Amino acid sequence: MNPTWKTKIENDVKNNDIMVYMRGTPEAPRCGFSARVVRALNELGRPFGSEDMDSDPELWSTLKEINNWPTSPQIFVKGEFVGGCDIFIEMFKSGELHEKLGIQK
Amino acid sequence: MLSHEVKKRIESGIAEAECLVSEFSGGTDHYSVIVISNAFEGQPALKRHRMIMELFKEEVDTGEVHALAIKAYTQKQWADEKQKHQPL
Repeated sequence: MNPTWKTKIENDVKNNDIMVYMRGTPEAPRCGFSARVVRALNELGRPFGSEDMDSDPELWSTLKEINNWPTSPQIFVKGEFVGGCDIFIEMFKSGELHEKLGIQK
Repeated sequence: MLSHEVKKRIESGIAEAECLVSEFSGGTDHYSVIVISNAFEGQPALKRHRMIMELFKEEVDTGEVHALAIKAYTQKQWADEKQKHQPL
């Protein structure tokens, strides 16, 4: 596990209500799953932090290890790892995400 | 990995599971699965997904399976889900 990334991840997760580790950027996602998550977030209309998992293989391997989760994207809400695209979209649709963030669906 | 292998892996890896598989990229590495099993009873989504992904650890690591979209239901949830989509 890369200690620099580990510290950066911990800080980013603490400082962003929603933190998304994705392939590409919100403006240019490089994978359909990352794109779906960004679309849902844009619809939600809340700021979120993001980091490109393709920017550094060390970032990807550090995240895989921290969360024991092998795929991208990986999403944190209020400091808690919630899972990947499917779980996140499910939470968005059901209103669980809104509830976690204290906003009206 | 072929879709019948994905189905078999899940149905033999999770107790009394029924699995519906579809492939969505035109190749053999993007799969979408619906898994129905009472083994998911009382388990949050994260845990359910982990149970399923664990079965494909090796293939995901090597890239043989690039994407696995998962929906996991208990038998009751699946019945409710089907009910919701029934035409009136």
